[in-house]
Amino acid sequence: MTLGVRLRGEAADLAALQTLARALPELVSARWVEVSAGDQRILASPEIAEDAAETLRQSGLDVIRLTRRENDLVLRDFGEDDAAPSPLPGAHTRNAQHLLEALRPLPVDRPRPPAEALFVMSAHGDAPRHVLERVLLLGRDDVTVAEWLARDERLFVVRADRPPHYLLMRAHEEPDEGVRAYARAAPGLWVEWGFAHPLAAIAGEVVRERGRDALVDRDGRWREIDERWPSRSVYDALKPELPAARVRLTPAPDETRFSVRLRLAPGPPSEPELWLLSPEQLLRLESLVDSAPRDDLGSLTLARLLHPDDGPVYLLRERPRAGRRRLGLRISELCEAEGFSHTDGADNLYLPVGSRLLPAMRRDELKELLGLDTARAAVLRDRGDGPEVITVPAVDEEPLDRFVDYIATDRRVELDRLLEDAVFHFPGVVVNRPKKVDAVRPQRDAPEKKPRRSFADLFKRGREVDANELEDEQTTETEVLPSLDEQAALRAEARALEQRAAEGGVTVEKAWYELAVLKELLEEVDDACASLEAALLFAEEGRDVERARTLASWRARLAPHRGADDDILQLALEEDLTPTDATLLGARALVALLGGEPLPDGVLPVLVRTFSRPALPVSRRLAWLVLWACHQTTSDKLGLTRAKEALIGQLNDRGLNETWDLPRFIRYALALDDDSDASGERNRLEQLDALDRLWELASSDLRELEPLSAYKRLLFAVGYARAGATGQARELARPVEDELPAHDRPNRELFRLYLARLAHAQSDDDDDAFHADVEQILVSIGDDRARRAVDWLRKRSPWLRAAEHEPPAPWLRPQLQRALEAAERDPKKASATVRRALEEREHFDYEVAQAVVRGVRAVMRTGNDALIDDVVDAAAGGLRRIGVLGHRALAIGCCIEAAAATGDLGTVHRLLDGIIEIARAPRTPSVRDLLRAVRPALLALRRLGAAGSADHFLHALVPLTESHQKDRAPLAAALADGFLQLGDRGAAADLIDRASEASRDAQLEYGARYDGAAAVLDTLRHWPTAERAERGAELLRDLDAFNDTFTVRVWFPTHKLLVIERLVDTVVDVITFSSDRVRAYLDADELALRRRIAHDWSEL
Amino acid sequence: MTTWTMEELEPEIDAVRTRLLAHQRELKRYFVGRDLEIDLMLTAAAAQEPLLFVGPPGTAKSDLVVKFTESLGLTDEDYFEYMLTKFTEPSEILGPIDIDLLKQGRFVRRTQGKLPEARVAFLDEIFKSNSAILNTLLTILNERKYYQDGMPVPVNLAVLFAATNDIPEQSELEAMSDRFVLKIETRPVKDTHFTELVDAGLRNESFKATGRRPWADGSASFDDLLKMKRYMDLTFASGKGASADREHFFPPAVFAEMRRVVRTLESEDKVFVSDRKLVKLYRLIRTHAFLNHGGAVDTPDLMLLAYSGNRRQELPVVQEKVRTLLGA
Repeated sequence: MTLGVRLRGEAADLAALQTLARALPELVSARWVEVSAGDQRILASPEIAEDAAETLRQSGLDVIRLTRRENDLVLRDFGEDDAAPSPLPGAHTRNAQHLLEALRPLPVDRPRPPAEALFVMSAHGDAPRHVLERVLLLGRDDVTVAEWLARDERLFVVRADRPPHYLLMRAHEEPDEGVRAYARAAPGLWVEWGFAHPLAAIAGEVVRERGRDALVDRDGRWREIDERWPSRSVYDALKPELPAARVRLTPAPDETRFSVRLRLAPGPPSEPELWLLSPEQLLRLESLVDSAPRDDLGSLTLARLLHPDDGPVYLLRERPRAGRRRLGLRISELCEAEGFSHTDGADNLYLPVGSRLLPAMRRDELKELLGLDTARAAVLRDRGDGPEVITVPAVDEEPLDRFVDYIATDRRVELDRLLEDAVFHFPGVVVNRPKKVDAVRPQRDAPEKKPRRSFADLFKRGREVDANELEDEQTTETEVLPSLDEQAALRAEARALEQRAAEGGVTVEKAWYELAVLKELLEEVDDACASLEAALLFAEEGRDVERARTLASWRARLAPHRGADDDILQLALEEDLTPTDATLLGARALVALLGGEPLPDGVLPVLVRTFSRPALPVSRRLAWLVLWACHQTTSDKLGLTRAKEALIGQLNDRGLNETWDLPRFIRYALALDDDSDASGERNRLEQLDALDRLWELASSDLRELEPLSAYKRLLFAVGYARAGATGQARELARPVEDELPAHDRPNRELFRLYLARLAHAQSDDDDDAFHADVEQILVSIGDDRARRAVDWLRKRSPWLRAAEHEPPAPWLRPQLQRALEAAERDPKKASATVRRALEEREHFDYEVAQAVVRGVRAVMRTGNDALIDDVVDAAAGGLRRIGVLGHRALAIGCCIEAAAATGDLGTVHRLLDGIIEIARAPRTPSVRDLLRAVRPALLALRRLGAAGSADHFLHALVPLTESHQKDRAPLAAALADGFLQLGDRGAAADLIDRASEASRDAQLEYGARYDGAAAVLDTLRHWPTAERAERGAELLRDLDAFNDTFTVRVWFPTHKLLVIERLVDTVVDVITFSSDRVRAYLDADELALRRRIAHDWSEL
Repeated sequence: MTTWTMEELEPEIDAVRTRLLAHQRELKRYFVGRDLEIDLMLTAAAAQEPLLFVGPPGTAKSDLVVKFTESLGLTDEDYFEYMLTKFTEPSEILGPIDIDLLKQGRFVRRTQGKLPEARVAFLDEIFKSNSAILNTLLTILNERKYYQDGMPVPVNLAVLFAATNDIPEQSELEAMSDRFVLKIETRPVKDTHFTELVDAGLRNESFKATGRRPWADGSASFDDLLKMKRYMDLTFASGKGASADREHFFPPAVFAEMRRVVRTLESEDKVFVSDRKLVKLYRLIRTHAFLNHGGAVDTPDLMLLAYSGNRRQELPVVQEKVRTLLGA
């Protein structure tokens, strides 16, 4: 006999059970039996005692007594033992471990798909296969599977987030298929989908307490499993089969090559730029030479070659220049010669104008077939009986105007002969020089014709040249010029001296004077004057008035509009002197002052005032010579001191001026080893070669429609265009233009920006035009998200962003600002102002640093060593008061410049120690801040000629490249730059390699890696092109190291693009390398000038 | 005559069905890669439900309808074709106002050669029409009638085909879109049937040039379509109880499968199936099943659900989903 509770299949059942659990909680965990017969459901437990049953009855539950009579169960209402028992025919019983398990889930009307479901089925049979097939067909390979062992069967389980509704319904509606779907009803409890457990939350807690999960099916049956059960990918459960015959292909032993005959076919119209001319055709150029301006002819080069069948052939080439008109069509017409133009995809291959090569071939194949390389060009022409490939070796092509001498009389025969034989030897010819246009110049009687002497020989014999003799020669109307061979020898001699001078710091009077005379002989009068000024400046035994006279006569030749009668006063009083007039004035003043000629009243002060002006367009050498001469004649020591301070102040303030202080020939000698055209061409070829090598590397993994590949194409295309290979540039960019519409919006717009950059690089427009285009493109982007992405890259890309503006001066407290302005007006107050700023504690560090910087600059402009020393002393003593190391570094850098200007090496060294102390401080400043001090320090040491100190200083900083984990690449790159400027290429190479390696260090944060690479590439600009390419290639090989996690990476990899852009920019940069050498020369020259000024001043 | 009785139809319905299937096979010979479209056209025409072609120009939409019409022996008077624009006026579709009658105060249209008189119609760019046209068409589609002088007049129209490049999502067009229970994408077939397309195109050009219309000698007639519709209507009405047709012709397992597919499309792909559309789908599936194999609905017949998408981007998704669910 068992007592139990009768359920009615209604919602009230739930309340009844809750009452039971509340009244007798111990019964919840008792064993229960569920009895179902027809529509009757009874929950009975052998553990319900009589008194408990009474309690339940009193609580309103329908309590019954269940007994077994023969084979049937019968029941009777509790407390009515006399009543007749009711039989329960066909009753089913189900045992349950506790009350919750005894409860049967209730069906749910229109169940919704759950967030997570389990599909459980027997592992044997077809059900798993059907379910998996359907799941995979629906594209749901994110499901996981597991297998469980039940008592007597192996179950297969598919677990799915967002389970397919169809499968849920199918499991619910087709139970015969053997698949049951369970949805999570509560943590730990899975109930068959379509049903709900009345006490799901409680049941879940109970099973969770046991560390289990329970699955409850529609019949109320419970299955328990471990809370954590292993699952695996759906693919692990698949055993794919493909009932197909297997055929294995193997590589064929030999490649089949098919012969394809190349032919010339009509192509797009193009301008001719190369001709192969017979001697007769060459002579037809005469009318062009006659009429074309010399500048236009400068774009034509000529070389004589030998064709094995046709004999001499002239290679005429036009090298188009921006802003110059093309002569190609006119030449073709004049010479009746076929013109050739270079072909897209192979810059050194020339095809007849308006033709192209069919079929199109890859560039490397074409190179191999025609033997193209960067040094040799090939011309393909159709001779009627078939095509002919003419290989043009790397010959020195001379500008056409070199073959042309402008003669006053018609000496056609000589000119023709000169043109014929021009390249291989230069026969001496006698030509009539046109008369000088100097109408005012007094004409002397023609002196007796003297045999021409080699001045080089004269100098070798140590003989001085008489200036009068020189002047005589200038005025000779008909003269015997040195033969071309002799001219070449003179030129070579001059070149050697130029190179020596260009190495910097030449202070030998004789060398300058030799150079001056040679330059004059070579008709390079401007250079001759510059050299003679240097000779006068560095004169060892007093400045010679005759040389000043020579200088004046040469300057007069450059100013034919000035008559000999223009007196000094008249010139000196003119406002806005032109460079020609100013230098002439200086030369004439020197002649007068050194020669002791009486000067009109008032001229001397005017001269002093004029040549003290910083803006006077003369070299500082000439300015000092004149000022020195003015005060030397009057023995005015005070005046000379003022003059010295004015000149030194100018040097402190702005250094030597590249326009007025750098002789033209020095500039060429620095920038070019040979003549300009050939060197320019060599630079171009080197750049192209470097770009070729880098592109080969970059193009190894190009894919269609991949943004990075498209960017690579465009970036290199811009590089090629800047190096003059517009054909290659067009070829690279074309696929991007073709696939433009297929790319996402931001990439599409950025491609347009780079294409605009490419177009401007090809047309050599200025930056303003480009940025106008950029603005136009940006305005046309309507989509905000796309515009933000475009802006993101544009702001970071040196090629796309507009010029950076100088940051505004930092704000200072009004009192300090007023004090500094007063010090700038009256530099004598600078020392006190700086000292006060350092002492007053209320100033911020940046304000103190600004006070030091502005105070130092104010006194530097005076050139007064005492004032400068005062301020530096005032500042140097209190710099430790600046706590923020970055600001202290700025102030130290400025003080080092000032100390170097006065030649105070001791203070410089003390300040350098300050930098090293900052760098080694536990709280190190950023490398960027540190470099604010390191760079001026290096510059100052170089100007001081203290290479040893600079080297020591740099070596003291080298260990920091190991300690600055984040910034070690930028620091190493900056130090490499410093060593390079000092000429220590070994140390520089070692550091730049370390910087390059550090920039690819996977341990670094990606931003630091990019900053490192950018610093390396910036530094490489100061290296020769081949080394830039070699080291740049390392970065390119490890391009994947420059990843990022920016939001825009869904469209483009920012850092990779910027690294490639900087790399290409570095490789095609010709300016930095040349300007480094110019800067170094000017620094050395400035040091020499300072020493000379100090020497002259102390002598008086 | 559309008042055939079951007794009249039953003896010949199998022959009608056979003729229609033969007709369908014949018509397919004149098109390349358009079997699916022709199957749907016949089913839709037999059930007298409108069918919408969705696709770019040049995908044989108009040609399909014209040849289909001609193959059923219909003349130009029975066929109305018009390209709609937002400036199309009701008179262009329904016919101009009769001026004489208007003077007498009656608002009567002269419908000869216009939509109300036609038995088959093809409206191109249907969603580009304005609201006046849309309202008129909705009335015709719903109630098979239009208004003359304020009085409803039945239309002859039995079969409507329409075409569009796109299905706009404006709410005012949703009612019209919902009337087209079946929508099929027509795609270019040149990539898959290049050679056959050129051959068939040339042959069709030659037919056109010589004035021949071999497809016009179709095995079935328009009457056969009407008989099939009438027979299906009578069948739906026969039997006792509302569920008689379903119990007899729609096995429970297949019906459950249909329900599962529809609910899955609704819950997972947000395909809205209105009550009206569900009933129409049932009728179409039944008609398709009877037409093709003369018996109860089988699971493959449920493939019609693949063309029940509403929005443009839904069409390929729904098609693929239904194929997957049905294991087709």
